[in-house]
Amino acid sequence: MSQESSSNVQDGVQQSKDCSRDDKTALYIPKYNWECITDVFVEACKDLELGELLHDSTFGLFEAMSAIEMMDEKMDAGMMCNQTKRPVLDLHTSVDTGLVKVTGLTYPELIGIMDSSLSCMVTWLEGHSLAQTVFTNLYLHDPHKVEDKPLRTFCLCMLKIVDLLRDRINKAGVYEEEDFQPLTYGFKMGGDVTDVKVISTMKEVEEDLNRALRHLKGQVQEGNAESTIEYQQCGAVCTRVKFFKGLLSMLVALSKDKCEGVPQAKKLISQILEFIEPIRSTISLGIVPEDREITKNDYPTIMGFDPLINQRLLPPTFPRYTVIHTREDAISYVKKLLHRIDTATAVLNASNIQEVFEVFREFSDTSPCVVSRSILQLMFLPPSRKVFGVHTLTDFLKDSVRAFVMPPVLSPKAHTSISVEVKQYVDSLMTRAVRPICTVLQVLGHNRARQRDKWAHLLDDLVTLQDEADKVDGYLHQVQMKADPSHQLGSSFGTWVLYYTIHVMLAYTLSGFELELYAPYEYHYVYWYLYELLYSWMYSTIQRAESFVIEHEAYIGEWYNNMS
Amino acid sequence: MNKSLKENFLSSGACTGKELLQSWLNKSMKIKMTDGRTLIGLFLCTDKDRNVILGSCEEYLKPPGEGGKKEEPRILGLAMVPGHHIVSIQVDALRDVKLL
Repeated sequence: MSQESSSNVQDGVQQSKDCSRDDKTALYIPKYNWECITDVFVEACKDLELGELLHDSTFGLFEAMSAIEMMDEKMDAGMMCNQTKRPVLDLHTSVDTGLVKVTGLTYPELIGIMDSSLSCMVTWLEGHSLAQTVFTNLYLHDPHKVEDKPLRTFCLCMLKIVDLLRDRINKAGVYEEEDFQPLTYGFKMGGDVTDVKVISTMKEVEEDLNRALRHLKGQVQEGNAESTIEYQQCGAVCTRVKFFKGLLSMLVALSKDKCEGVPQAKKLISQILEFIEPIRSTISLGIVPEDREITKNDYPTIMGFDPLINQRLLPPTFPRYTVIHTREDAISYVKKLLHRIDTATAVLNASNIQEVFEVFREFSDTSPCVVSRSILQLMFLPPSRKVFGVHTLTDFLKDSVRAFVMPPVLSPKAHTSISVEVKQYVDSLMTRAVRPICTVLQVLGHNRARQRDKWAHLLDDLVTLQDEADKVDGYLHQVQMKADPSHQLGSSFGTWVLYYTIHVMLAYTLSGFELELYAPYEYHYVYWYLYELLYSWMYSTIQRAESFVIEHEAYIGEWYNNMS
Repeated sequence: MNKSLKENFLSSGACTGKELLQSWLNKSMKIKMTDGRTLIGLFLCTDKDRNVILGSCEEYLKPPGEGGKKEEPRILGLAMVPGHHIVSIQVDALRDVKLL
């Protein structure tokens, strides 16, 4: 798009516009000198031939093609028919005009708001934008304006949960545009309050509600009929407060750098799971939207929510419609999500890369959601780039090679007799292996459909690593021949790398079935290739590795005995 | 007013309508559409049917400058307005017109 600086912009006024968002955008508002040229323009255009375009040299058809067409309802999101006729008010105006309450909220209102917020969050996690889901809740735009303590605390809690989820998914880097939209549109996520403060305030709210519950229970026992309903409602709010507090605490625990919070997270998960059914059974106690006209991008909502509040923030593409999940679906989704996260924590039990690889493969086979995939990635390799937050990658890889083929050069018993040069050679191979092996695990973190392409790219890297591993094996063989020609060492490192290379080749081939890429007449080519080549190669590799372990352990033991 | 403007441009060397149009390329242009919206952007391209392509285009619901409250425009980027939806066109004229 040609953007030549207009030389006719004079008397430009530099204004720093104070938006309600974090980034201050300086808007350069020039003073225009408009001259009406409508008739002249029309006349001038008659001079053009049919099909002739008038433009300058920097503008072409490619640019013209990507322009949005105005007054076409499928492309023009700002058109009248795509716009709503009802007024769309922001939080402050809605509160001032009394349309939205910030104080004295009833229990059914709280239940409805909390459940709707959860539905919005679940819809966001399925790949929609924050602007059209979570931030349709006006209360979240400025929680400090909310005077009602339970609601204000809930809003801060929700913002913190959303921020943590977004942070985890971003850091893991295993999402694609169809999985997740990370854009926050400049909304504040409660950054002025700490996680700990929010959790402790939620605890205070929980205690207030428990007190109210005890009071109401007394009244119920006295035979007060109205109090029974109120007791149920109060209980429902209290359960939700505990649920969201638990959810935030769990995410905070999972985010700890050395993965030391994982056992606590598991405990919290089992606690939160117990709240799921009580929440589900009390969804009906919450306020529901009144009937209103449903159009393509506008649907009825309860007080405090407006689907169109953020329309102007959306990029100028064709109009996108987001269907928010029902409250029942949302709570079911969260239940499954919690189970997935719980399953993912099993990776911490792995003692070498082979085991981690198995966990990742089994997990990926279940087609998990972007949240659980991200959490699994970050549990294995937190931002500190240490395995489980504790081990260095090269050490962990060495342990893995040891477990797989037990090469004498890596044996702890043989440590002192190995020359510095040999150690350096092996160390540099391990350092080189870090990237491809970690990429294998990262590819398994992406959604199933995207893996095939990435396997193909990874094979290039693995082939290079294979070459280097073979070179190291050759060098070690030479060293061994000089030191002790009677015992020959096998290709330990080469075998280890080959194990992963064949696995990637298998994954690539098998993904073709999952993505339905092969025509039926091609099946027997693929089956033959799998049977004759890939699987039999894998089998021989594993057999060789097993025999190495036995040989090498015997050799090391013998050598150690001779030394002592 | 319009005729004198045309004469003004013609006297400054633009002989044909085509040259007149070319003189406006890359200048800021304000277009009022049939549904009442106003677009302000850089004039990039047009054709015989007066379809106009504007660059760095902004959309205003009410004409900017009028009405009390300052309206925040919707940023469109590159936009094409069909000729038959154009009600009026205004161009940001040079203060100092270059005379040959």
